[in-house]
Amino acid sequence: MLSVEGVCKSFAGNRVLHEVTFDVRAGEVLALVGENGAGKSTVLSLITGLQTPDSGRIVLDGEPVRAWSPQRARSAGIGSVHQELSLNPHQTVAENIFLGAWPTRGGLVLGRNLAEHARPLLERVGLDVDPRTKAGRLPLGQQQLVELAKALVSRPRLLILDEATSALDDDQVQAVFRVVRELREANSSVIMVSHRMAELFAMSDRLTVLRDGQVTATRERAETDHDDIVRLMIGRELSNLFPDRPAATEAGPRLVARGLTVPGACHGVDLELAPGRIIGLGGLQGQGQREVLRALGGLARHAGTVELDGRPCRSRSPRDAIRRGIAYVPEDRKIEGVHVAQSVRANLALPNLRTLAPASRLATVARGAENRLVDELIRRLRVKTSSPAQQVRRLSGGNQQKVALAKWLPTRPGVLLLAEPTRGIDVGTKREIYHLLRELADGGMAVLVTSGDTMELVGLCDEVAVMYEGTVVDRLSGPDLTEERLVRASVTGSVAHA
Amino acid sequence: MHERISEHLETVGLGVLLVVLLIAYQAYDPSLLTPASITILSAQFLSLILAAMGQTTVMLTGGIDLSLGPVLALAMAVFALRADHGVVLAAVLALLVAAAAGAVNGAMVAYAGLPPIIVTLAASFLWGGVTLAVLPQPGGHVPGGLVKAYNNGWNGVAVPAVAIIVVVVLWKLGKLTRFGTALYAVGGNEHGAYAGGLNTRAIKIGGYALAGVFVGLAGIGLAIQTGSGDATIGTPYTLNSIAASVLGGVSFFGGVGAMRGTILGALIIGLLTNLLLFTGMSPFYQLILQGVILIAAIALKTLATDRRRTA
Amino acid sequence: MTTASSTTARPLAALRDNRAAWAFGVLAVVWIAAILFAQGFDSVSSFRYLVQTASFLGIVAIGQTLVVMMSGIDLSVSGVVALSAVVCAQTAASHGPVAGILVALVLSTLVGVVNAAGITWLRVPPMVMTLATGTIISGALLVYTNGAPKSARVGLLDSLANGKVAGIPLAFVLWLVIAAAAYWLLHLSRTGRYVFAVGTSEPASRASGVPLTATSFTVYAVCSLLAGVAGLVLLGFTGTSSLTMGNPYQLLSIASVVLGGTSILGGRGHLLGTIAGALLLTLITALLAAWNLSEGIRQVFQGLLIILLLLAYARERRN
Repeated sequence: MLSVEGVCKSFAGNRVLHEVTFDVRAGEVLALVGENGAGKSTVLSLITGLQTPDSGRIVLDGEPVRAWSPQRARSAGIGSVHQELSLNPHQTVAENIFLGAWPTRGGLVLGRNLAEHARPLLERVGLDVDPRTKAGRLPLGQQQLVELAKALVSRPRLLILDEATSALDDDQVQAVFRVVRELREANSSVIMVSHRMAELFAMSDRLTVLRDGQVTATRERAETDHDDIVRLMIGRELSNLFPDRPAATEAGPRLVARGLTVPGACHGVDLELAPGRIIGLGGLQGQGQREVLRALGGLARHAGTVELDGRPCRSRSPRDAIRRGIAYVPEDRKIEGVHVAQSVRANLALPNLRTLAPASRLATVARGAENRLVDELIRRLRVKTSSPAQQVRRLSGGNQQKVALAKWLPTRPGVLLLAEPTRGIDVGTKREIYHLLRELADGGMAVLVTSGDTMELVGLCDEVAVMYEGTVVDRLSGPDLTEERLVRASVTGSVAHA
Repeated sequence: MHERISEHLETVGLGVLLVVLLIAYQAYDPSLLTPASITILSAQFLSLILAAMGQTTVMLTGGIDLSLGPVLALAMAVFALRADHGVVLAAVLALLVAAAAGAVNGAMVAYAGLPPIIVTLAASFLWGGVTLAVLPQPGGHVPGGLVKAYNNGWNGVAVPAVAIIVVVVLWKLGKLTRFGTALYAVGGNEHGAYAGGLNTRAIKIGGYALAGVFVGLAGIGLAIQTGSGDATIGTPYTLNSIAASVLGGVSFFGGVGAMRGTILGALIIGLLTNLLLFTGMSPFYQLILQGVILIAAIALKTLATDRRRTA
Repeated sequence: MTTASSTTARPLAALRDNRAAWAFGVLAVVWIAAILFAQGFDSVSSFRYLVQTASFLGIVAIGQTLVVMMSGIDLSVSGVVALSAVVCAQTAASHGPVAGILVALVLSTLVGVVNAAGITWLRVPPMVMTLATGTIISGALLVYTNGAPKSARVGLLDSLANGKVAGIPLAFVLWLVIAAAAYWLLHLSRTGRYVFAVGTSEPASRASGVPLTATSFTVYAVCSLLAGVAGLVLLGFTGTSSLTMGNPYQLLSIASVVLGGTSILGGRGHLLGTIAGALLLTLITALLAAWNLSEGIRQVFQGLLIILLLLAYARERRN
């Protein structure tokens, strides 16, 4: 139905795609897999008309496309849902769904009329919300489903799902799958990109693997398995994804929180973070995990007591927290975690300017020391960048995350807080980050991690506190720390007895 | 439902402020609510209200128009120069010129990849120069009958007030067309709108051109009010229109805001200026108070919005 | 792989992206063209006069650069220029030149502090806040002078504005000294790094522990202080003060910054580019004046030239 033929694409001299060729047949679901930076998003942006290839062509129904643009792609029956939301938060759900193709009555776009048209689409994606709600007011998962409804308006013959399930819970994922199956039955095609391998295997007919901008293989689902695909993705076997856990230490707690409360998000949370230990905060999306971290990191107003090394400590701003040795790696990597428009060097130096530009030098930045520090961090974390002057925007997600983490290391934090440290990151980089975190803990840091990935929490953490509706409902460690118990506690919100 | 209430809270707050001002005004000028008074006030405020509506239109697309004052003066000059040869033709000509100036601004924003603040800053020199070239000295003439009807009423009808109402009704309808909806869509998330297949460039140019129409109407109103044209009279309207829009709740980042807020904002600024005159305070103090009130109003609103968000 | 520097590997590409260098290049071309094709641009005295008059704008524009780099904007500079000149003229008449200068500079700096306070604590958008303080200053000056500001010859300022050292106008020397200090502040010091960081992304800067409040106060105070200095030099140059003497500097200082290659969105650019920007604008103004065009046509050309130059090298990259 659609084929990509020998496509090449470079950005600012960096080759992103090289001779990429694959096709999607009518009535099939094709999974596009690859590590971050392998070129999946770029291929998709060529298909949806957001970019044009340097060479090669896109062929639709046997005809090469010409003057391709999002408008043309949409009218040719290509719909897409991206990880990064394209909704206008200030308009209603219905207005967003019909973007550009608003049904009118007497030439006017009327709210009631729009809502009527939107309801069946919302039903189809399993979303029970008022179509006249402002899109920005919905939780992330629901917004993603609105995106799906929006893509369905033009009755797509080809639907592109680019990490479209990354913020969805299980029920919502099932709703997406239902839509995918309906499309397949109607002889339409779907291209799926996801980091959740299980989803790809559950839904796809074929898998095309990209590595470093080239197609390494296309496999029928029945003829391949998880390990085979991972091997094709990273070009090697991946062993010991998670580091070994050391024997429990007897060190006293470094940070103790009692009755931590952030109005409207979490209440009465008790936590103890000790040097050498990695503590996880688990649970379904949005149970207050994020705010616990933000409170400790000085980014959210909170009540309750927090003690650091036995002394009371209340962080009113990130500066307060940093001064006390509490570093926070936020969830919104591109917004808060790094300065995407600045260089790797500027990013890594920023939290360390007090040492790099001391008062004794009249606060002038010591360039030599700065370069040494930056080179050292790039080497230590194996940040893949063409130079320290490279804009962080141009790095892959995994490398951006490394920068977001690396910049804190020279401040020698005693407490490290990480929100969703590996979301949207390829498995190779995940492994590196897991091992780094364990290494840091072994070096005496107290680490606190939130994650929506149960396997990650179970594999990485010494102890996991499960949150439900803003409070901790269970704590799992040792032999009790299993995926099954974690999921059960997350879903039921009560202590799970084996 | 909660959302609806909080959304209107801002308008209600502005409305309350306006009522307070009106009551104070009534104390100084008991004839406030007579037709004569309404005619005079609406003649006085029409230009600011329409200019603010133009500014709001641009701000909804995520832009800002620093060339608004010069374009207003340009429309005023064109109208004043041609009015003696036929008022309708002069008005059409003035509106076309203003809309074209707006469209040029919009095209530079849409195609050149220059930020609106810079484009319109440079354009303010351009349009200011064109106006001076068209009308080097204050001059031109608007037929006396029209001036009289506008400022003193026509058969007891407050012409400027009617004109404002007609424009607002037209905007309300226009906002509900696909173009109006697209304007908000582009302003709220330009990339999303582009990726969703909207012709964002055309919509932006259309938005700036529409703003030009509002500003052109404001310029025509000002010409009729004063009876002639003046190339430099537009300057304060740039900043006052921004002030009225921001006061009315229009966001600098686009996609957020309603005309009713802008109109309330413009009325508040206008009434306040008049009120200060009534208090017998030296007109020199007016500027100081205007500045202080602008800061206070916006700070209060920001802080109130924040409280609501964190609560 | 990680050590190879792309800036040295692709010098041409780096130059293409260096908008400050572009600004100097365009300045050189225009200047040479002016010398070749226009009357009266080939003498040393004309050169001297040009750099002297560019200094007034240039000093304001340097302060504006700092603010814009932090993705702010300062529309009150016009008011501060007038404030400083008027207050100095008035105070110098009664309390002597030194007192006049000091009072003017302290008041100017205070305006910057008020701007920063409104922007950081009351969270008023910079454009509105500085617009409002500018309006307040205009009103305050009207009240203070009763609408009729004094003229005053302040000897110290007269020699600063009109004097020469080794044939170079002192005002130009002052401008360069200020530029050097600002260069240190923006490109070599810790504060400068914070300015760039805030200009690029405020949320990321907050989360990284950048002292937002302190940085904002420093930058707005310095900007106002420099506008005050420009006002003093102008007072020395003309010997009179007026309530509107600052007006041209509001938009022209911003235009200088942008023509100097600094992104109006903040976080990208170079302080030295602004010097080229201010010289370029002054040169264009002088050229248009030399052609004896009417005021209107002159403005049209000025607007068109600014737009053309911006199109040539100051376009924002689309992401």
